[in-house]
This record gives sequence, structure tokens and C-alpha cells, in this order.
Amino acid sequence: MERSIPYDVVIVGSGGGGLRAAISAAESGAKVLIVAKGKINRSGSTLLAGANLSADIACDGRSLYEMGLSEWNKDDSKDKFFEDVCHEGFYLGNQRLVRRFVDDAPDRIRELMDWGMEVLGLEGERGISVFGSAILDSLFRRVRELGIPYVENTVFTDLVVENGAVAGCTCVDLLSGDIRYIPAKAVVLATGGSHGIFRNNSGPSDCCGEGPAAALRAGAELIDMEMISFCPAVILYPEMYKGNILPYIMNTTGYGQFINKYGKTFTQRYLSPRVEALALDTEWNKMLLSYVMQKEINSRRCNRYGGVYYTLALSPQELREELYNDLPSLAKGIYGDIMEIFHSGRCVTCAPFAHYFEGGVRVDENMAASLPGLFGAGECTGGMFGANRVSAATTEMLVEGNIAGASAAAYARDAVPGQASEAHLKELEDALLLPFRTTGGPSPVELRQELQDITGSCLSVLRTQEKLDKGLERIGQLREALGRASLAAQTRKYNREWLDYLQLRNGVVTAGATILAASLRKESRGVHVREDCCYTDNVQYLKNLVVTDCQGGTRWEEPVHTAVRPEPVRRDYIPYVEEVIEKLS
Amino acid sequence: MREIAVKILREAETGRGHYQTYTVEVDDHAVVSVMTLLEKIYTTQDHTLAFFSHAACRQAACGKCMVKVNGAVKLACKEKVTGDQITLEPYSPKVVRDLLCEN
Repeated sequence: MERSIPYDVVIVGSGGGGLRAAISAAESGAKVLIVAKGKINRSGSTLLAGANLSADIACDGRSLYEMGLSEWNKDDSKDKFFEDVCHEGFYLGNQRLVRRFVDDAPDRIRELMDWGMEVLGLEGERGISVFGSAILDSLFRRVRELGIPYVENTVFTDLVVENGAVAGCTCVDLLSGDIRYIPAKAVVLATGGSHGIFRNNSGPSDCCGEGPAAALRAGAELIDMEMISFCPAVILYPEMYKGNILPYIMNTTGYGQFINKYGKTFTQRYLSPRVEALALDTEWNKMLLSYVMQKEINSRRCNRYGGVYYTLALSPQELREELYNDLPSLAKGIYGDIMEIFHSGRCVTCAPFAHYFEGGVRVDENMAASLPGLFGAGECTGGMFGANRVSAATTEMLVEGNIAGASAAAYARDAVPGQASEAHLKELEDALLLPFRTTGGPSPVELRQELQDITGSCLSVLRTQEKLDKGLERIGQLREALGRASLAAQTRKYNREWLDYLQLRNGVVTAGATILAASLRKESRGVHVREDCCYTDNVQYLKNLVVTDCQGGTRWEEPVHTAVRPEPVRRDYIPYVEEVIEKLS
Repeated sequence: MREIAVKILREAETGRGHYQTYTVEVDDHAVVSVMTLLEKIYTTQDHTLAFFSHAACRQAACGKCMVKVNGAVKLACKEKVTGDQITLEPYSPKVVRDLLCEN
């Protein structure tokens, strides 16, 4: 295995969280390297935030007013924002992290504007609207100013641990196939969500859960893994546009409607008019609408493609003009292509798709994991939002990235540089090259299908004990099959099947931890809905579930509450959602 | 069902480039992209095919999945396939493997 020159801090991931972490680590004086899976300023989910039509960055209304951005909500305060985020997470969020989130948000927005980010307008009472690409461009401008080096097309595989502390990481250069050890005193994981474990996901193809899986293998812990937000209305068919969240964006703006195969609307079947209004008019729409959509899809009213239809009224002409007036971006690019479907008198099929992963690497308010030298930022971490993310993931990645980079740099200042032993590196290399040594085994392509069959069957919006237990059993079999995997091509140069293997090696870990966590939380809370336990139980389950190792070790932990505590009640799921929404400012 | 003949220039990086043709079946009214076809071929017919796939947004935002479609450089995820045959080639002379080029 090649050894690169040593660094103080290696940042894994080059979405918003990774770039922001690199900036603060470099500004703190650390020697930094960024490892990008794809292109440095075009990797990760940040680019797709708000379908690259309108990503929102959240911040309290008072601060927006003070920055001269909004007059709308000047009576708002950081305290009100803090309390709302705590309620929205159904009391599982780490309130010390939430405090940092609301306190730091205005500074993160201000600096992005200083670095040249264009603000398009406002998004609701607590957010500005920008292009996801504009966030990346302004962060990258600052990265270049600071002269931070980076590598591209490089997939992170493992953390290297010596004497109980991080001593760097290993990566594969996808174009050459070379495996490289990068010695470092500290590593910041900013690998994003675990979208790739789901066939139906709204993320880019890079986000495969490398961070949480490698962290767990290396001895760090994961938290809140059972919590996954689904985007309720993502295109399932036509296949070409699968994964696009445009129907969700249009529906949130107020346009179009969902109908089942009989052409009937159905939200009223599952939600009272009051809750339905809440579901459609508030940011809670993701959770509540996903619940409704999945209920309908699981019924005989599901359409032939396995979803429900999203239709758009384009006649009379005035309605068409209203739509294009509100959403001018629909006229061009890929959205123009999607609109052609509606103009030709057809529509699209939608279903809830895995969208945002609340759980991940367990970190404290300094973004430090339990493993010395390991830090995390953004979606690959867990803890901030608890059982439901309503506020913006963009703010999360910026706030956490800033903290993680500075914490990692401070840690690296005092840390003794660790160097991995040859024996340890050989062991890691052997694990990565395993399918090249095997012949006649299953292909990672088929095993990936199996993983996605498993997650689709038991980790969708509506979960049951029986399905989860079965899923866990199948994960065990898949893990065993992965040990026998072999490849059709023996080259290491851009071998997609090998990449599928490397991603699966992580996917079985994150999916296994997620199914395990979902099977142990025998209640419904936030985005975790158990059809067989349709109540939220603050008596027994007001706790975070921590996954402690790859062998199925877990522990329940008291949540970090500093200010907001719920009543110790047990209520039916939907009525409790309604109760919690009433507490919001 | 509609059959699409997909002719792909492979192994140009070795100096011994050759065309390989795959037949992909899609629904009659299916709207498919070049990326859909490549994924179908990779998944069901040929696990050795290389094309940009490790960090693709699949929504014409990242601009990384460029490929030459019937002689013109296009984004694989945005390019709709209408006819019953199509030729795919690497978009630049700096080929890493099959359809993947250095970028």
C-alpha cells in the first residue's frame, strides 16, 4: 500500500460539511487534506439541496432581520428557534448541539455571503433561499484562497487506528485503483448520508454511508440510526427521472395533487382535516405526507408502477401561467424536460424515497466521536435532530463543519503523530482486495440488489417487528455472501463492480445497524413509524439508542436535555404529533 | 416492449478500441436516458462496463457524466433516448476505461 505524506487533519468528503470543516481546520493552522469522492466542489448532497432550485439555509428570524435579509419575523429569537428544533426532534436531539446550531447559524450565513454567495430570497420565516451549487462555490472559493490541497475521485475506505487513536485513513484512487494510506493525527468524517443502501433514494450516487460504517468498524459509536427522513413525493416513474424531488417541491409550493390508481385523492383517509392542514402547510409535510403516501401505496389502490400519481392542472392557460410565474426554473433544463410529460397529458408516479439520515456517528458538542482523533460533520453524524429533522441540513453541515474542523485542528496540535504498522495496513488491504482473490462467487452487483431488497422490505416508512427481524437475518446471510464475492473484471482501474463491493462492505454495516436499531425501538417516534407499535412512549423510549459495535452491541442512553423536556406520556402516534406541533412558536 | 441497440466503444484506452453492441428492452412508452441504458447494461448484462457512476447526481446538476452520443457530447443522465439504436463513445481522448475519461 502506498503511503502519502502525513497531515494534521484529513477531511473525508467535499460537500458543504467537508469544505466548511477544511476551512476552519486550515484557519486554525492545521495542515489539511480534503478527500473528495467525486469532483471537489460538485460531490455530495449539497448540490441537490432543494433540487438545486432553492436550497434553504435556516436561521432565526431576528438574526435575519439584523442582517438586513428579512423584515418578516423580527420578533423571533434564538431561544424560540432552539425550543422548536427540540420539539421537532421529539425530544431525542442533543440539546447542547441544538444550542450550537441556533447560536452559530447567523455567522455561517454571514460568512457565506462574504465569500460571494448570492441570496435568491427568503424561504419561510426562518430561512434564506440559495442554489445548492452557490453554497459549494463560495466554500470552494475560500478553500482555494487558503490553498488547501485535495484529491478527487478517491473513495475513503477505513479509519486507521493505532494505540487506541486515529492514525489516518485509507482510500482507493478510483481511476488508477491504487490503495493509499494517508497518515493523519485527526480525521473529520463528512461523508453525508447512507442513501446508497436504498434502491429508492433521493441522493447522489456518492453517498453510501462510508463514514458511519468505517467509524463503527474502527471502534466509534453510532446513534439514532433508526431515524431516516423520507421525502414523500419523489419520482419513481418514468425511470429516467427517478430520484428527482420536483413533485415534492411543486406540491409544497401549492401546485398539483396526489391521486391513487382510481384517480381519487387520499390524504383525508389517514389524517384529520386539522392534521392534514398542518401536514401540507408546514415543514412537517415530509414526515406526515410520507406516512400517508406509504399507507396508500400499501393498499390495493397503489398504481401499476408501485406508487401514486402526481398530477398537475395546466388548463386553463391561466393556471399554467401561475405555475411558471412562481417557478420560472421549470421552463428550462431537466425541469423543462420533466414538464414535457405533463404538457403531453401524462403525469409522474411518486413514492416516498430515503432522503435524510438523522442518525450517524455519535459526537459531542465539539463534534468529537468517542474514538480519539475522530470528528464528524453533517449528515454522517447523529444526535443533533433526534427523531426528525425539520430545520435545514445545510445549516447543520455548516455549523458542524466549522466546529469539527476547529476541534480536529486543536486536537492535532497536541497529538503525537501516529503511524500505522505494516501489519495493520496489510490486513486492511487484504479486506479491500478480497474479491480479486476469489473466483466463482456472487457478484457485488447481485449482492447490492439483495441489500436494496432488504432495506426496501423492512426499512421503508412503515415498519414492523416481523419484517425487521427477517431483514436482520438476511443481512447476516448477505454479510456471509460478501465474503465470497468475486469480480468479472480483474482490473483495478475504475472497476465499478469493485466499487460496488467497497460500498457494500459499508452498506451491510450501516443497514445492519439501522435495522437493528429500528427493531429495538418498539414505538413510533418522529420519522420512525412502527405499524405494530403505533404510539409514542415517553415513559419507556425517551432515550437514544447507541450502536456500539459491528456485532450487534447496543445501549440505551438518556438524551442530553438542557432546557426542553416532554411530559412522560404515552400517546397514539398521530395525535401526539399534533400535540407537539401545538407547542411550536 | 421496445428494443434499443446500444453500440459502445470499449477499451479505447488500450489502443485496441472496439465496438460492442448490447440490446436493451424497455417499456413501449418508457422515457429512458443514456444513463438508464448504461445502468441496465451494467446491472443485467455486463458487470465489466465502465462509465461515470461513482459520484453522479443523476439530475443534470453536477455535469460529470459526459459521453459522446451519436457523435455529440451530452450528459448521460439528461440525454433522452428516442430511437431504436444509439452509439456511445468516450467524450475525450483521455480515456481511463471504456466510457470513463479523465476530467
